[in-house]
Amino acid sequence: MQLRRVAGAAVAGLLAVAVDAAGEPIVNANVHTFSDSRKNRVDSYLLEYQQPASRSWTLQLRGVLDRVHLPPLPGLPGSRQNVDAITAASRPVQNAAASKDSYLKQRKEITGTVAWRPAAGALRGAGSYYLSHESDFLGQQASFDVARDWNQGSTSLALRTAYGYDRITPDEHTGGDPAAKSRNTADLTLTCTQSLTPCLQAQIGAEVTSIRGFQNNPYRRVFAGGDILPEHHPEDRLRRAVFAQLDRYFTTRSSVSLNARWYGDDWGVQAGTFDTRFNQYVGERFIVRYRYRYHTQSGAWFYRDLYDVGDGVDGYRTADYKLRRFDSNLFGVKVSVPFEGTYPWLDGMVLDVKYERYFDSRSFAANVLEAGCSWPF
Amino acid sequence: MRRRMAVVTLILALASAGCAGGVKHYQREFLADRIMDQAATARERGTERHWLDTREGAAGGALGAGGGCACN
Repeated sequence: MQLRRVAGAAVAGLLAVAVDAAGEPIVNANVHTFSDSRKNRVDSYLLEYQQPASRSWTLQLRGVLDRVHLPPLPGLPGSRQNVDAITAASRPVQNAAASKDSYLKQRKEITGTVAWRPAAGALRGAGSYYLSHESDFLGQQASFDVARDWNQGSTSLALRTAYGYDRITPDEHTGGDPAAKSRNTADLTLTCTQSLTPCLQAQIGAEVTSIRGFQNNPYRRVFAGGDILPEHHPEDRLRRAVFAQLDRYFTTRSSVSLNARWYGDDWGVQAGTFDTRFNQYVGERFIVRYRYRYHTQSGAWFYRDLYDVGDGVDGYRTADYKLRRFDSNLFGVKVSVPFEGTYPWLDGMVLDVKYERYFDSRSFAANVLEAGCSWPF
Repeated sequence: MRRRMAVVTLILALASAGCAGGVKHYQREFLADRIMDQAATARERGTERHWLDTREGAAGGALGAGGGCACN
């Protein structure tokens, strides 16, 4: 209901300003499919609308619908394999019969953004509100961005701050606690972008996130000291990351992008990620992109494959695969087709198709397929 | 591995520091090319985070971690 009210208000606002619109609107549509080796599938549909309201102001509205399809669980309810779900998604299990059915869950997300960018002026900013809704989850976030350019735009500094409030109301679940829970997230990101030469630009940044509140999966269970118990994570987590990116253009109508990120938090997870992309024009219009990404991380200090006692480690226990040590690789290819200079009514339209293969050192693999279309009109 | 990552990050950081000489507007043809669009890469990374957050414990940032969300 709340989601509908916000969506209605946002659409009404956009229509109101469209009357005095100072530029052309842009529409982006995107379909994304994720399927993994455990037979989970997530289909995502994204629609984005951007409307200039004046010379300086732009309104954006973004809606996403995720449909998460989960296969029947392999074990009995209460067994580790079963309730742990070995899935990328959390799933309540009410009883043995329900665990043998496929499960479908929907997530609806809407984001409204107001951006300010005067034609003459080095300062710009934006504010946005995000709402995500599922049957057992409501996430809200407000964020503000401010950026300034120097040296005729060669140097840019951007600051982003965000505050989020999530409310978790677990569905009925075998042995689960149905009490509502919440958590707060505060995030600060600082990014500096610098054009180094006419063919080279760099970006560096840092990010700090503080999370307070319930951070377990309400349905996941842990095998500890001969019992099957609910997860119990610390209620505070401080996450820090620094990142850097270098983009180089080559006169062969190609470019290379190198990105590195280092991450550490007070749960003991430390990680490094290296991401490289190579873009190449093929003929007049086609752009082909090849990509490789490597990620490595250590485990959280309270993660164990098996816990000897019910109390876990200092009272904490987890079955979260994201908190263990592993490496992952991703290979991908993307083809973009811009339609500039073909037909006037197609001018500016871009079609994208992407395929990526992800696999990690714990025998998990996934295929990511995405098709998108961007169209200013 | 972590040390290697830190070295790569440091090199990239140093490469971008102290280079405030600037590139003029009329020299930006290549930087403005579609295949050099950092903003587009950042948008794509935002969408990607949506599923990477469900697989890796080091994503963090704009949104919270774990919980009742179907995609977590």
